[in-house]
Amino acid sequence: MTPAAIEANALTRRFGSTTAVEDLDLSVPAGSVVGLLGPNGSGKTTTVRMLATLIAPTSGTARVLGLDVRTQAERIRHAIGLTGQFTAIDPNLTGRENLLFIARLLGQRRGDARRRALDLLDRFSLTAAADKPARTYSGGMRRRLDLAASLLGEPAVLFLDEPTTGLDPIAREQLWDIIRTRIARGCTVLLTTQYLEEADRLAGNIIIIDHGRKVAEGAPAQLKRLAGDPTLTLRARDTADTQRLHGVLHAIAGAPPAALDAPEGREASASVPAERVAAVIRAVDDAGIALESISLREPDLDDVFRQLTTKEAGR
Amino acid sequence: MTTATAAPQTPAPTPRTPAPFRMLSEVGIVVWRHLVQIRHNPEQLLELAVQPVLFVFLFGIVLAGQMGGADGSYLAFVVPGLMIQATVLVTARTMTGLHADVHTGLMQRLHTLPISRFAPLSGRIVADFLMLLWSLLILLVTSIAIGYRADITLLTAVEALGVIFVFYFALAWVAAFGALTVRSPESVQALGLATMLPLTILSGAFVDTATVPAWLQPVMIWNPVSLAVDSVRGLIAGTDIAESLLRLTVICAVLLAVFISLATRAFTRER
Repeated sequence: MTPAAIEANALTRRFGSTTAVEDLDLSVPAGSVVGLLGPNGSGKTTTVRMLATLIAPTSGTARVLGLDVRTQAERIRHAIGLTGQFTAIDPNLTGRENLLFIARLLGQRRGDARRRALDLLDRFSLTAAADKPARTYSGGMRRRLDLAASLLGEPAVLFLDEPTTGLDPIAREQLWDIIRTRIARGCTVLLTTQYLEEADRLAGNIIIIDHGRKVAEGAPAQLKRLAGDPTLTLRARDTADTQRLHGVLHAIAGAPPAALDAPEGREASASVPAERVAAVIRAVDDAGIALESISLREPDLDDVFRQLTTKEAGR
Repeated sequence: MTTATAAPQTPAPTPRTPAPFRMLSEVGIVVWRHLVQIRHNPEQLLELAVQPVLFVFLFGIVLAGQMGGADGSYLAFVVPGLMIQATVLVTARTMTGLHADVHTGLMQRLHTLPISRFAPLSGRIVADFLMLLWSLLILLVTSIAIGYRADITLLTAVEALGVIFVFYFALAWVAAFGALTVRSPESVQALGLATMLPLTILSGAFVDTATVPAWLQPVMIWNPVSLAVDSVRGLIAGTDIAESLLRLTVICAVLLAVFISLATRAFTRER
């Protein structure tokens, strides 16, 4: 088993009478990416702030690279990078100056700092804007500069707190690419996000939290299985075949299919285990029903999430 | 380019440079950041220069006759007051700048770096004190241009600057606490005005505290602005300042003790 780069046991943080994070257990194997998924106010940021040594836990323990966040914070800070929800850059400095500032504070010599800044600006497609004030950057550029700043110290552990919140789809895609390259370099990443797609695309393991508590954990595929079978939707070419189409689907799926396009009623859909989809199609073909379209939708994490959080709300 | 390894490496426990030198170099880097900001926005220097010119003009020329000092005696009286007023006004800069750092998240990033917790604020304090020196320079040049003369030695000048720095340092921590506890930039400004205006108006900066109604006198005498003004005024005039300097030291020590601990606590608290 790979040793854990981040490990938390019964981690709890209270602010006055509100409990932001409660009894959270968490383990991120070295070199892996774990996604912490949850809605606004679910305790994601508080968890990251505790692990990044910004605030102390109320109770419980947390270790980063084997070091205690309470007593060995100083040493942890040598090995982590944090990209928070708000871009932590100085808008009045240029992109290059921002990176130089952080690199120098990390104790890098002037020449090394310059070289590293140059290299990161290049890798993050910021070379052209390197000498413009950061306040003139677009949202995507700011995030990239912010991420570059958190990589200056070659951190072994990277915390990404909602790295793409508020970005347009293209900028998000770009940032995902960068994060993926980073992951390929062997960095341990704890990613928080409210976007299920983001967690699905980047993380090997996902922890879903709500109201400061863990509600589910597993690989994206495992979690999706929680949401049940994929949905198969068939559409007959002729209205006359509709009855028979419903009959076939009913026989195999074991439950009456839903008619989606009433009143015309040529469409039927049902939840079907992936391995039985072929059987359904064969049966439809055997019955001589001509189909106009077939669609199969995998349950996505949104389904899982909706299911888990409604269960929570119903308690 | 070095490659990060997959196994968790325990980071090196021993820093290369001894702590005090490291802290100095960190403060230096933060000062560099603020000076670069000024280079990009030089109009800040103009703003810091216009203020003293206007106030010297207002008190040294427009109001001087009314104050019974058309002969230049009021100018001599008010210049130390204006210097301390400039000091109080510079803390507004410290406060809004620090608030912006907290607000943008930059302070959070700085706190995840292996640097001294005091380096970011200390760097800002040093940089803002340099701005104050610029403001004071303009103030003195303007005053001298309209006839102000002070017969002081270099040592006295350094002592006066020392008093101003100690006073500014104490106020900067109060400002830091304000910046960390107040939410919006508008509230920072409102809070700044609400504290700085009464502090300077109800002080001996512009008037002799002996001339105000008796019930107001204790407030004005114990106002730290008055104590700082009295100390600088006394240094320049060559009179005994032991009492005002002692009171100022006590007040600054109390302010520092209270606000360093309050501000440090506010730093580590969730906003």
